[in-house]
Amino acid sequence: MSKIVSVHSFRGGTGKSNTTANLAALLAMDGARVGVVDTDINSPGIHVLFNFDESEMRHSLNDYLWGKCTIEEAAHDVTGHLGAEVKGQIFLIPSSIKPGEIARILREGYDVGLLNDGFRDVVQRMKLDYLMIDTHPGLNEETLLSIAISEALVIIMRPDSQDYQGTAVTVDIARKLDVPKIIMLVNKVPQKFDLEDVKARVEQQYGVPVAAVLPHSDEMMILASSGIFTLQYPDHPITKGLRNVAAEISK
Amino acid sequence: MWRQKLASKSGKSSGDDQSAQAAEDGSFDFERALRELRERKEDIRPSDMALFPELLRSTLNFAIRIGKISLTDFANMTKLNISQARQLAELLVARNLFHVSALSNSKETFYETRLSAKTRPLGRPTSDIWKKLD
Repeated sequence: MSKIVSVHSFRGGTGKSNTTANLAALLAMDGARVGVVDTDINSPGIHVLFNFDESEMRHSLNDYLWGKCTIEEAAHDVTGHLGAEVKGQIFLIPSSIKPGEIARILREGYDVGLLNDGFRDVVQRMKLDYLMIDTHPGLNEETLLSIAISEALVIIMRPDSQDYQGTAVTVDIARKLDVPKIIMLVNKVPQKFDLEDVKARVEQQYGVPVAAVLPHSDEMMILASSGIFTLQYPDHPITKGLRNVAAEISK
Repeated sequence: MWRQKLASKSGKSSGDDQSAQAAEDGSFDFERALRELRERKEDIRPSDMALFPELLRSTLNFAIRIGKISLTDFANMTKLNISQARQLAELLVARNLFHVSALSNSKETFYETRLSAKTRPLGRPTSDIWKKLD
């Protein structure tokens, strides 16, 4: 049975897109057909992690929302961009990176019901095992819709006071929307911190299982979103942590 | 500092206030829910979903996640009789959350669920910056 999975953080800069791309890659390595939707229309970026050039973008999520194409026509097979052999496939539905098209969405708005239809259609028509939704940070109608229709929600936070408060809001909303599975990931944790202690405290505070506590990594910073970390560093502690998250999603 | 805050927060959900609307047997104030839906002029938006009283909220969450629900299941899950459930469902149809499915027949009504809402367009800046971006 296919699963819709939202990846969310209340604040920006938590590593949401990076995590989404890596989880998609790990699931695809296990043979899954994975769709990835960039719903961060205001500030799209996940296409960069898949080395997906703007010139290859036949259609975008924006085009689908404007009725210029079907949702499948906006899905691009980026499996060959991963730079590693994977058993499954990854289909990316990018948001437009053209300033005029971003401006049009901001200016005119759109009906988020089209996302509702598009998510269900693409899962069914492309026979996806997983649809990963890279959400816009914070809460708005489109993010709430993504959470409302998801079978699993990955909440990312950093050990930071601003993230701490916002994460409480996200967890509260997820509970009210009865998300069947809530998975917490603590990212960019200073290496001086005791990771097990952080895990225990976060779990106690939010009452949500923490699937991974990922240390800050120079290797990740140096990679600088130019590729999929888990494929380039298969034995790194971050990859091990993300495998735990992927395993929780697939349970 | 964030660690201190983690240790001190009570963890009480603001959803606890909502549950005050529910009766002890888990049912909710049907008449009030009916009245609020009748008085409502706008379609039901994603941001409205957290505001419904239990058991209506969890039933609607379930139906939205699955994408469909039958009238019988809707009645059973909300602990309403069929007549009451039909009254609520018809208001949810009017508010564009439920849509009567073509699969409906004389014995059962099926509803498809679809959340929708227009994102808020930004106002046009006086300097008309949009034209410069187009």
